[in-house]
This record gives sequence, C-alpha cells and structure tokens, in this order.
Amino acid sequence: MENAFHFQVNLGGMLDILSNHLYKSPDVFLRELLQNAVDAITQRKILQPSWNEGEIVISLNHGTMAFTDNGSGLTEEGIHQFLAVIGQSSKTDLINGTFQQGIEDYIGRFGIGLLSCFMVSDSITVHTRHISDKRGYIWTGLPDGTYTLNPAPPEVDFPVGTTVILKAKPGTEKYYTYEQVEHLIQYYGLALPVPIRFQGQRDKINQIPENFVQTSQTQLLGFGSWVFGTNFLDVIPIHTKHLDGAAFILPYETSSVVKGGHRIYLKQMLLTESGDRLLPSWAFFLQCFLNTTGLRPTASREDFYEDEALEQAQREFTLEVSQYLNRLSQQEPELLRKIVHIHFQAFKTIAVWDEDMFRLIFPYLPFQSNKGEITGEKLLKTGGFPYVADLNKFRQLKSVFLSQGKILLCAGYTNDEELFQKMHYIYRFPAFPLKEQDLYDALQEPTLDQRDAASWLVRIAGQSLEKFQCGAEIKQFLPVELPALYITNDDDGVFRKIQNAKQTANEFYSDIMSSMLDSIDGRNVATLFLNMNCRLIKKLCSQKDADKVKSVIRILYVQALLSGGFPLQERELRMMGRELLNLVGEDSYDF
Amino acid sequence: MGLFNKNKGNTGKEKPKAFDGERLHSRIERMPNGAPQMTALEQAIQQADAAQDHFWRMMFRYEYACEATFHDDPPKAMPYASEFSSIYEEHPDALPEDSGAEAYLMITQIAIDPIASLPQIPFSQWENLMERFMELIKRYHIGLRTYWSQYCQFYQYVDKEKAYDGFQRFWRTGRDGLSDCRACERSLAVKMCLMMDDWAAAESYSKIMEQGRLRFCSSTPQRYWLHYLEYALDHGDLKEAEKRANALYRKTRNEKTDLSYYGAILRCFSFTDLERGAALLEKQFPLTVRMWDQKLVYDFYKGAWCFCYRLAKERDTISLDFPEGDFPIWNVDGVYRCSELADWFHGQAKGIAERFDLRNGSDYFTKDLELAGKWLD
Repeated sequence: MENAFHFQVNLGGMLDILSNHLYKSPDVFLRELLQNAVDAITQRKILQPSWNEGEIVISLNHGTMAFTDNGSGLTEEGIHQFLAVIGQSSKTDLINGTFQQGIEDYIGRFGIGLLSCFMVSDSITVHTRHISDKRGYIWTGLPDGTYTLNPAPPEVDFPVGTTVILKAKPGTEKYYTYEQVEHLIQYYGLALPVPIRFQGQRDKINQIPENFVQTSQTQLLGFGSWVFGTNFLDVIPIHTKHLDGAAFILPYETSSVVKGGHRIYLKQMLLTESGDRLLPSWAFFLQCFLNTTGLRPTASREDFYEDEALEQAQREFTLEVSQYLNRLSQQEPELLRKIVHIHFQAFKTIAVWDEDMFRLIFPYLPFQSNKGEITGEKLLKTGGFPYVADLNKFRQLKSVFLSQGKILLCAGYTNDEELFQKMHYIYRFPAFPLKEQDLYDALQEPTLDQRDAASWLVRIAGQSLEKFQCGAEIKQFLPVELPALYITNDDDGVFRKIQNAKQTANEFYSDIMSSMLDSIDGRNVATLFLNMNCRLIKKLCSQKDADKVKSVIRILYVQALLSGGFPLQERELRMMGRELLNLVGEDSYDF
Repeated sequence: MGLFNKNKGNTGKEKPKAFDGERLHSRIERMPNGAPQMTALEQAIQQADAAQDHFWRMMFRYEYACEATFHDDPPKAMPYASEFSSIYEEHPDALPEDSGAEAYLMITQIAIDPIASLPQIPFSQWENLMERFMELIKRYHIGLRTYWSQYCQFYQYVDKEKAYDGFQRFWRTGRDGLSDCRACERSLAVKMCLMMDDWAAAESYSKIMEQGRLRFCSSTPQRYWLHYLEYALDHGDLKEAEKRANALYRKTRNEKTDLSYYGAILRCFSFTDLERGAALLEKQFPLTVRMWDQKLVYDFYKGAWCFCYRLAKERDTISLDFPEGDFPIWNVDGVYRCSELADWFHGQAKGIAERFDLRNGSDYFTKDLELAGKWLD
C-alpha cells in the first residue's frame, strides 16, 4: 500500500507570496474588504429577502481603520472555517453545492482576500455577529499564521455584520487617510450597488448612472469626464448580456499598444484597468467604463479567465460598437469622418478583421500616396493604382512617379496592404502591387545630348553586368540622389527565382534549373537604369578608367537590388566585397 | 489541402507578432486566384525566410506552386518546388510527419508535371526527376499511382504504346492520398483511350461523368471535354466539336491554364462562329505573353492559326486590339491581314512543335499540327 504524506505549508512564506507576487499593489486590500462586505450584504439579502438596507461605513482614526458592513456576519463555526483556512471561502461552499442559491450574486470565491490586509497591517481584527446569533465574536489574526477567537464581552452589543479593524504598518500610513481611501473606493467600488460612506457623513463615496442606455449623452460624457478626466469626442452606451456601461471615444490619437486606462468591473467591483483580455485589439481608441456579469475572474482577481463567456462578451462589445458606427454613417457622417480621421489606425484594424465594417469605414480611411493623403472614397472614385508594400521602396519611388504625374500608393504602414488586397477582393478595385512595367513607364528618356554623353558609360555598364544578364540604360528620374534602379524584364521575376532556387537546388533540380536558365541565355532579364540627374552618374560619364567605372557600376547594381527589395544571391554579395576592395586598391581577385 | 492547422476564429485579442504565418495565410487565401495570390505569396515567402520559420517557408512555397499549377503558368512552380525539396530534406520535422511527406511528394509531382511542357529541359532530366520521385514513393509508401499517371502523360508525346502501357499500370495501381480527383483520373483515361482511337473505351470511362454521377473538381469536366473536342476536330466531326466547344467555353475562367481550352475552342469557332472566335482571340491572346508553358502556348497558337486561316477565306483584314510591345507584328491601327496573322501563328506553333519533337525524339507535335491543317480547306 502506498504511503500518503501531507505538504508542509509555511504560512508566513505564503503570505509573502500572496502579498508580494499575487497582488500588484497593497491597494487591493481595500478591494478585498469591499468584496467581502458586498458579498456579506448579498448573503443577508438572501437570508432576509425583505431587507434592503445594506451599507458600508468606514471609520478612520490616526492610523486605524474600521471597515464595517451590515451584512450577514459570521458564526463561530464560520469564523474557524472561513477566516482561518486559506482557500476556503463562504462563497466556495456555495459553489460546491452546499448553498447554490444566488451564487451569481457573489463577487469573490477564492477565500484568500482577507490575507491581503497583511500588506498594510500587522494584525487583522474582525468583530462579527451572524444574523442568527445573539452575540458576536472577536477574531484576531497575525501574519505568523496564528489567530485568536473570543466571544464578545457581554457588555458589548455587536450589531449584525462585520467590522474589520486594521492598524497601519510602518510605511503604509497613507492608506489610512480619507483622501486615499476615497480615491481607492471610487477606483475599485464606484460601480458597487451598496452605498459606501465615511463614518458620520451622509454623502455616498460611490455613485454612477443607474442606466447607461437611458442616461443622456451629455450626462454620460460628463460622467466620463469625471471618471477619466478627459473631454471625450463621443460615447457609446453598452448594454448586453455580459456588459453594461459606456465606451468613450478618445479625442486624441492613441497607439495600439495602449491597453490600459479602462475601468472594467466584475459584478460592480473593479477587476482591471486593462482591456487586454476583454476588449478587441482595435478598441484602443476607446476608454471604457464597463461592468461585467457572467465572466470568471482569475485567482488574483485582476483579469478575466479566458473562456467561452469572455469570447461572447467580446463579440457583444464588437456588435455594439459596429451598430454605433453604422448609425453614425447614416445619421452623423461628419462625426464619423472626424472620429476615423483621428483614430484611423484603429479603424484600419477593424476594417481588416471585419468585412462589413470594411465596407462601412473604407471610404473614410486615409492612405498615403506620393501625392499626399488620399481617402478610400477618392480611391474608389478615381481608379486603380499600383502600390508598394515596402516603406523604403515607396520613399525611393514616390518622386519617380510624381515626376511623371502618376499616383503610387504606399502599403508599407500597418494594415494598408491587407486593406488594398481586401479592396481588390471586395470591390474588384484594381489596386495592385507595383509591377516592373509600371515602373518602367515612369522613367523619362534622356535628352539627346545626355544620351551622347552617357553612351560610353552605358556600354561599360552593360559589359560589367553581362554575367548577371542585366542590361544598362540611361534615363532621368527623381530623386537626383538615386543613382540607379534595378528593374526585371520578366513579369514575375521568374528568372531571379530560378537563379535563387539553383543556389540551393539539390542534384535532382540543379540541372533542371540550369536548363530553364539556358533557355533565356543571351538576353537580359533585367535592366539597371542609370539616373542622368544624379551627380554620380554624370561624373561616371566623364571617367576614363574603365575598370574603376565597372567596379562602381557593380556596386550600384547591388545597391539597386537592395533598395528594390530583391534578395541578394551569394555571388552578388561576394562581388560587392570584391569591388569595394578593388576601389580601395586591392585588386587581387579574378572576376 | 489538409496540411494547415487553421485557427481562424478572430476574437480580436491577437497580439502582434514579428511573423505570423497563420494570419498571412488567412489573408492570402481570400485573395483572387492567380497573380494577386502569387504576388502576395512571394512576399510571404520572403518574410518566412527572414523569420526562418521552416513550416511557413515550405507551406507558402507549396501554396505558390499550387497556385501557379492550377491558375497561372505551371513551370513557375518549379523553382519553389526545388526550394521546398531542399528545405524539407534539411528540416523534415518542421512539417507534420504524414502530411509533410504527402506535401513533399505532391510538390515533386508539381515539378515533374510541367517538364513535358518545357522543351528546353532534356528528356534525361525528366527521367532523373522521375527516378527521384520513385525513390520518394518507396521511402514514404505513397504515390505509385501518381508516378504512372506522370509517366503516361509524358510518354503520350514520345511513344503512345508506352504511354498506354503506363496508363494501364496507373489504372491498376490503388489510389492513395496523393492521387488526383477521380474525375481528373477518368479524364486522363478518356485521353489515353482516344489516343488509341478507342472511342468506346473512352465512353466507358466518361459515362459516369456524363451522367453527373461523379463529383467534379474545379478542373473537371473541362479536361475530358477538351479531349473529346480535340478528337472531334481531328476527325472532322463538327457536330460533336460544336457541342463540346460551347460547353467548354462556358466553363473557362480567363486564366492562363485555360489556354489549351481556348485554342481548341478557336479551332472549332473557325468553322462555326467567326465573331465569337475573333473576340476570343483578341481577349485571350495577352495570356500567352511571356508564358513559360510552351504546350499551353502551342495549343492556343494552333487554334489561332486555324481560326485566322479560316477567317482569311472570308475576309482580308480584321481589327484586333493586341497589346503593343507584346505582339511582334503589332500594327498601330490595329488592322491585320488575316493571312499574315495565320502565317505568324502557324510559324510560332510550328517552331514550338519542332522544339518539342526534338527534345522528345518523336514527331508527335509536327504531326499534330499537320492534322489540324488537314481539315482547314
């Protein structure tokens, strides 16, 4: 028979783990207290259905905090069971089937929340009286894992409910000030349905609109401004099975990497500021105040558990935003234009993912062309254009096209190429990747004088590139700094592909690749266009040293390949090195 | 294709990655077939290479090869097939065991297939690659039926008895994961039977397709219709030819791989419908420009020759909008003498036929061209 052993648990070490590794900051102790208090009030409501006077009162006095709720309280048995056993929660019982009624109404479930108070206090004292008891109990827990439990003195009349008393640890005094507590209550518990007050004050610390859908837009924007400190562009009320609240549209451009800044609550208790799990990746133009129901928190209660319900909530959110944008497009197109203009990156992401949204948003989206910004609407009206997906290539070619009065689109920014492909797919709109022929058409012929001046250079260049089956021609184009452009003559660059394949081909393919190459031997498969507007090319025209000119031309050839985004072959890399050596006076090579 | 572990559900929470092959693939496969997909795949290959993601290095090459084979110019698949082969030999574990071997054999077949259409590749090199294919078949225990299919398709231009023998071996060998769709296999059977002048046998293979009792892939029924159409034209059966040509014309897709269909349809229209023939010639000629696959070009030029030859009997000139720079006898006014066009197309087709026959050591193409001319007067 196998021997069974028990793990030894070091409570002090475990508290350290919980305090310093599970929770992000000591702030959460207040969240845990709020959570336990609201759950106790919920439990009392279940036990006393006609009772509806739940409240939380906080008293602060020189480094001491008394956090009181008038919920169901704990029995003696309950204290041993729930305050002293990690992983045991009064709510766990409910989950395990002991008490199933109303499980969805409870916030917590892990039974470790109270331990977070050790982050700000060296002791936790709990005064509690269960709704069914005549007397209360005093429980005191210490971080070393020991605790005491005593009945309340007969002369002390504990009301039904629970008070947690904390005393500031050195360095945590700020958590015992009115300002900080109010801030944290509004941060974590703003959406809680239970009124929270300071002792002796009538005003509630927490208050939000009762119904986001029925609240006026002005009031919602005012609420958003109060919570987030921003005057938003517009607001989208959200009301679905899992979500309730509002998504505020930021008035300034933001980045897709920004995931924080939201207020996302689970059952009215703040869960996270990060929209990373709940919100779609394109939602970075929104700042959300959302209460969620039916979703599961992780153990740290700092994010959502990824499950089917979370995915459903994401879909619901997407649908709400889509419907809002749809409405804008029909009723307030100018506002939509303004929003898309500010948040075009977010909207491009939306358009990539969602075909319906693509159709809706595309006309408003801005794109980069060599003639400046151009909207999707204009693109659709004016006809088809070539695009380049490489930003460097676009920069290299835009002036060349501009000098010819032709439009070249840049698809080098995030999502643009996908959108052009989608545009082709949906509208059959001919936005097509730049073909070599388009490029060829954009180059200007040299003057007759320039042609004369360059004839020797062109001949030398042709000789120096013969091995690469690349011809040389003189043209003039912009920018003047660009000395040469490499353009393949075959439609799809098949020749270079075969050359590339031959480099790595095994014995079975090597001969076949050679045969394919042999079939086009004797004709150039590419052309290096030398720019007569460029000083370097002009200078080369007047050079006398043919070898040096050949070296420069070969280097320009490799440079043109690189700037054109062509993968370099080994022999071209080797040649580059050799020619550079040649230029600095080492000519001990044979090429 | 069954090689990808696709996970396309968008929950909107995907995090940006340096290289995301799955996402790239998902974008590309939604693009129109042919050039748009191939251009996108080339860029995807570059990205996968840069990321050294061997799975996607191979899969994008595989996708490109398939796209070239089924929607563009099949020989364009060959460089990528060669690269796939090298990558797979070096990183066999980058693909799942079974589907990886299947993809490897499939892309080898894709590389073998167009050799028949490239007269510049010597016969011995085709034999070497077939030998390699057999080694892989023995190694992975699939693909023998495909081997015999390739064998008979090449040998039909070399030695029809050997081709038919290969076909019989093909039909006797069991199907496996590498086999063509059943309709394509039956289309090959029809072709082989018609090659042997056995109309009845051809009908026995096509009957099930004619009755619509066999599921067609995107390449069928065009393939067996083409074989019947060519046989009918070669034998002067215009009634049968017209029926097949009209049906085939409706199924064409304006793709380069349709050029054989267009050629045969043009031959038929030269007898039955000159107006539609002129429109077809003008519209589809640009597809032949800079084509690597010489068999497709030959088929189209043969049909164009027949059409222009027959047209010349009706009229001296015709207005056609051919692309400047891509047509050696291009006229600025777009008006061409029909006989001149006929001579040019015939000269081109004859040149290709001679190169094929020289490589194959036979007179198949020369005789094929003569046969087409037999019915023109």
